[in-house]
Amino acid sequence: MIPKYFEYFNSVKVVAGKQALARLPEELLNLGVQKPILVTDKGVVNAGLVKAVEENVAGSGVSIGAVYDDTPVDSSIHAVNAIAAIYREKGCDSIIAVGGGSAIDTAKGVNIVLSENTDDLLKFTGNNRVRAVMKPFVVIPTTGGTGSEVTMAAVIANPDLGVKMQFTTPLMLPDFTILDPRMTKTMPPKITAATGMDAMTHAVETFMSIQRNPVSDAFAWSAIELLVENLPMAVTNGDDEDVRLAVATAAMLAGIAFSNSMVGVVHAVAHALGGVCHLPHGIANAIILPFGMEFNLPKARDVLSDMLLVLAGPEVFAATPKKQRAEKSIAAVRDLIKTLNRTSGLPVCLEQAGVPRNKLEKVAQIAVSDGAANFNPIEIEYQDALNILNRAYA
Amino acid sequence: MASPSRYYQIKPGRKHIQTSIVRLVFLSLGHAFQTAYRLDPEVKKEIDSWPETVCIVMNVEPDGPCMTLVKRNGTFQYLGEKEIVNADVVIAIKNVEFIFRMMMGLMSMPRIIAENRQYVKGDLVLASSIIRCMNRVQALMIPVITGLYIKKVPKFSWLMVRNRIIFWTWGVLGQVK
Repeated sequence: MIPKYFEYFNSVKVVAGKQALARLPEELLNLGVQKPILVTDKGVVNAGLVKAVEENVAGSGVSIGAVYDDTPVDSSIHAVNAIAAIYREKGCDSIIAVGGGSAIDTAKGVNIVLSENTDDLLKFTGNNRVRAVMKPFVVIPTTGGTGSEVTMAAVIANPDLGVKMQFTTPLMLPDFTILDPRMTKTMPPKITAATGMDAMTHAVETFMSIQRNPVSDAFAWSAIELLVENLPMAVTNGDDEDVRLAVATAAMLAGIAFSNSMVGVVHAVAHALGGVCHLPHGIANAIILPFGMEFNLPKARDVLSDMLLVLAGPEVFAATPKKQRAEKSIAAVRDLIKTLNRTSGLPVCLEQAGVPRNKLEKVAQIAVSDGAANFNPIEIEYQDALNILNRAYA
Repeated sequence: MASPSRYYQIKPGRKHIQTSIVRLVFLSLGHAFQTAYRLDPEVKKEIDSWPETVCIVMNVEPDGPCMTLVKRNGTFQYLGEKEIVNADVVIAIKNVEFIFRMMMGLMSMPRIIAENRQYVKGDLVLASSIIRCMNRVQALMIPVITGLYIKKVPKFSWLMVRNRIIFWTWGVLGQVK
């Protein structure tokens, strides 16, 4: 089905594959920069991944101006301002984010502060508020899930005001991203499973979104195909670089899909679970996904039926009567989650994830105001969100 | 070579009819917001959950009609087209044509959002709450064809019928304060 109207935009160059990291200096020099600041966190440094970056820029004429490794778990305005000050002091000329969603979002915030020459990020919250030409920006993801390396959004907390500021603008897109399987190899099985399910949720929700279009469908379809085939293997055999590359590619494809065709109810609830109960985003998405699919069934039956082909394969698709395919798709997602639960300990319900039952009402209240709710095919009311949470609880 | 006058310039025109209709509907919508805050318990609950002082502007770019709503000192008021520089949330419609189509029932608010015909300046969480209120306000304003404007039509209730009557007799004139 062709929509009456759609938009697609993504300008990020993707450099993916084994030894892809070796292309970093050349790509930086192509951008006319040679002294980037590296934004990362302690976990990434301890895993030896920053060393891998250092080794790849050695002898290339590119020097790392500074390595900021104090990025907090939730990107914060304090880290953004601190990094911007270091950038100016050290005379850097570009930004490289090495890490997961937090490091990448922090680096996006730093880019706004530097490019707009401001110390008040609050002025730029919302859609398309940034107008300045941005600094050259590179992302090297170390998790296979967020898709932040190709998205035009960032969420940064302001602990002083107790708010999470959301920014969306295509100007925030990185100039290029490097997907090197060595950078995700060190991820433990449970995090691999959680981040992989984050990518799966991006792809599935894109299909159900009111912004769904043929371009995002193509990216989402490929992402699901790669994830179904490779995610269970990435969890059980993390040393396999082919499998790691496939999952990182799937996360990138799902990222492109959802940055052009927004996510919906699952993310709205998962964001609220993260905010209230500090549940990791990937785990929240994995738990809520099948319930979100069920919630959207009245409006997304056709698309969920089609999805069975990629979720369960052509034999199952052909053997399932058309009327039962949507339910079978949801069952296929549940099977995948159960498999990941057996192999990595990924929680399958909110109780297992340690979410207190008395927080569910607060979570439901916040979920209905999440930006993602606007793009869900069905209006999400407080009681709907609470029903989803109760059903996902045990 | 032809004379330069052969290559004519297209000057930015105006859409006077659409602009006038949008201005009129903004006036009704503003009064409907004010009325809904007094009469509809769900809108009141939603607006009461906002910070103590909030200024909201809905405008049409680049210099079209606008609607300013302010919550302060426990009241919620429509201030007409008053220009507020530091509004907390600005919902900007990118072209008068889009808001005109929406108001004629040819394009719903969810479609406007899905097709990027608008953008939000400020707190996106508050903006979501405003849009939720607007859905309810539109349901108050428009009977029968409400489904053309919003995703989920509220269930029939006599309270809603009563509120509609009050709005279309007093509220639309800004008399419910």
